[in-house]
Amino acid sequence: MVNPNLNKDDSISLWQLFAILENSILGTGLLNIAKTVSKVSGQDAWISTLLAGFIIIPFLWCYSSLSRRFPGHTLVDYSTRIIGKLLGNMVNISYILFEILIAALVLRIMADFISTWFLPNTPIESLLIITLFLVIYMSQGGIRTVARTSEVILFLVVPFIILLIPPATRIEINNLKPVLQSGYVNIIKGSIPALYSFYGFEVLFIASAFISDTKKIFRTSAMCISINVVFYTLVVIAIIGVMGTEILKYINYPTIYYIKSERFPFFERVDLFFAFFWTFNIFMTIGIAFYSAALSMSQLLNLKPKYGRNIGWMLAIAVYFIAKIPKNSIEVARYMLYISYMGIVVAMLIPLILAVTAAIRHIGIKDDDKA
Amino acid sequence: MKRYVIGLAVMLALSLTLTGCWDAKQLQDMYMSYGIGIDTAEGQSNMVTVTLTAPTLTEGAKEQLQILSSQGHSIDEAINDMQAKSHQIISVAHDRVLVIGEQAAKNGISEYLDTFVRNPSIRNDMYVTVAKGKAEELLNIQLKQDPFIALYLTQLLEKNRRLSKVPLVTVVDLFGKMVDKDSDPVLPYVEVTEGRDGLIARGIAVFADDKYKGNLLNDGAVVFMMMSNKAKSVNLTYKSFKSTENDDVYSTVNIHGISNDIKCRLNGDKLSIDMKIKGDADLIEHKVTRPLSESDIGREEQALERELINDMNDVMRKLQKEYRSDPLGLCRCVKIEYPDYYDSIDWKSIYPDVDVNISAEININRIGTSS
Repeated sequence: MVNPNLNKDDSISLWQLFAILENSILGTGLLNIAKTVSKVSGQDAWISTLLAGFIIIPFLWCYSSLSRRFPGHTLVDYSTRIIGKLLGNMVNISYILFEILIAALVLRIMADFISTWFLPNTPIESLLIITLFLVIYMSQGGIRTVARTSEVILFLVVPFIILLIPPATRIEINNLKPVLQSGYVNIIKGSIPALYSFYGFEVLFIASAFISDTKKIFRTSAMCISINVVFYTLVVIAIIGVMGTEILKYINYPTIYYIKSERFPFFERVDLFFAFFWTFNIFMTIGIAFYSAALSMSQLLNLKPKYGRNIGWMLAIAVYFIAKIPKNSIEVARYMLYISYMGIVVAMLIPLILAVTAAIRHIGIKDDDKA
Repeated sequence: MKRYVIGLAVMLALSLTLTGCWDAKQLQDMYMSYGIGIDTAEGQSNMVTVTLTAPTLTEGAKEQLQILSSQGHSIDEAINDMQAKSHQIISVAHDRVLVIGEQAAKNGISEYLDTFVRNPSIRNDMYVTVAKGKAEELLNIQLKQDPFIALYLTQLLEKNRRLSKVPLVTVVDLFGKMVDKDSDPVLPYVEVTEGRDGLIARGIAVFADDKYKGNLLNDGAVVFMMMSNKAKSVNLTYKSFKSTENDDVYSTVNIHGISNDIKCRLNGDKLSIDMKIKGDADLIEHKVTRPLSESDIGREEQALERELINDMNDVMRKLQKEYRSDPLGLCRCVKIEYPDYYDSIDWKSIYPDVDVNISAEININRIGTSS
């Protein structure tokens, strides 16, 4: 791990930031969003999804404000400067913990997913270990490697989103009615599991330190989130429209079932095709969360680059054992909900508090673009 | 020279790691079933008889098909039991069609469906159909034109779906309807010919909840498909306006662009449902006595509409009064339009007595190349 203080070799472009964000957000969320959200808000799940997305966008401004005040610095650099050593370190640790938990949980979901659909005879441990080796390798390469991989995988995976379109021709509008029937409370409650699908944007704490054009961070990240909001909402509408809400209570990975419900010419088992390529995306989610945790950890402990590079091995052990805690997919769903709640604090409240405090105490470079 | 030898040895050794077929299964070792049949076991209502049919892959075998049948408390138990009767590995991963025997369907099919949705190795886009009599008997017949009965049956269903004579229902669709309390499932209904050498796709098997109640055959099935908005194109033969009391004259039309508009109305406490079916028709066959005039077309349309309305009333009467089944999802219509009213009633008890007003508007647009 190298010192993230901005130098020419270690900067990334806005487009790369977009790719990192997109890869960090897209992942296991898509596979289960219709199930987890409609469990709470029924046929109005799409409204919950929309709501969850738009709640996030104002918080992106906090990230961008922080990165403008502290260009070239990550969370660990500025949190102690803004709110003091004790509170700052608590923030840092909770952020690292959050990223480790995300990496572990997503890793576990991916391993479950792969072992259910493709490799039923492979022990889950070997899937975990192989993936972790790759993740460590990627995170050792630093931000440039992460950004490059993100770009490549984005180009690789996005075409497969087209596969989501043909089954949508069979949407029955009655499945989505009556609108707003599940009550406002349930719709708002439903946006909490929906938030899980959007987590990943907290990588801005790290990634925005490598951007030289800090003014455009908000624009890029807001665009990225908006695209995802629209995408997820459409997916939820399509899945509920085609399959109805009742069956979603019973099946796991409804998105795969949804793709499966259409017979394509020439292709057989398109679901597996999609699932296979989607695992790349899931891998990137793990990789980026892991990289964020490893980088923050080495900064927090003030490690020399020589040791910083190897902190990943330590974290990997933690991630491995956390990933093995849930017994089955029902427990995994419970942990996903916990993560959603934790994310509200880590990914939304912490940047808000930091940005507001920094503004009040005039810490960092003064905001000069008041336009 | 020595370097080349070492290099060659290393390459040869490495090539050993590339052999991917160490756990390959020979085709001859597999019992690859293409169709699966389910019956209630004779005399034991809690036992299920499972029948599998697979092509014999051994050269020189006397029979081209190998049919296995076994009993168990669950489907998987029965399949496991079958292994004792076969020297090959039994695989149900390639099943294309699930045939449910009449008695099993009457007892309720929800208990059988679970494994088809839960087990990821089973194709859950396989078709489901109800057989007259026993599924075991249907899978055991000898077809003269095609030895592979399961594939033949799949094709039969697909081809008849084109003319909307049967619905095409996959396991997941069926499971969805089964868990959805608002609408009842329908399945295709297949019967063995009297000579036991052919299959006939006869029409539709109607279910109430998960229990098979009765059939809609021939025109009834076609009209039902039109009413449920599942028909793309149908051929209907009806009594032409030229019929007299002692001489019936028939005409045939192809109807396309079919839509059925279902609306419910609440007058005070009285619920009534309006159905209006619309479509464009091509005249295909028409007994010529004189050239068709403009007014003839109008009268032909009237005759067609009259017959269509009669048929639809007939179908509705059967669904409401005889089978007490709601496969058209009228329940959901009421739920969407009048949620408060819906909460105050017991749909199951009022459904048979709901007034359904049916109207039809068919335009004969094309009359072919003669008039």
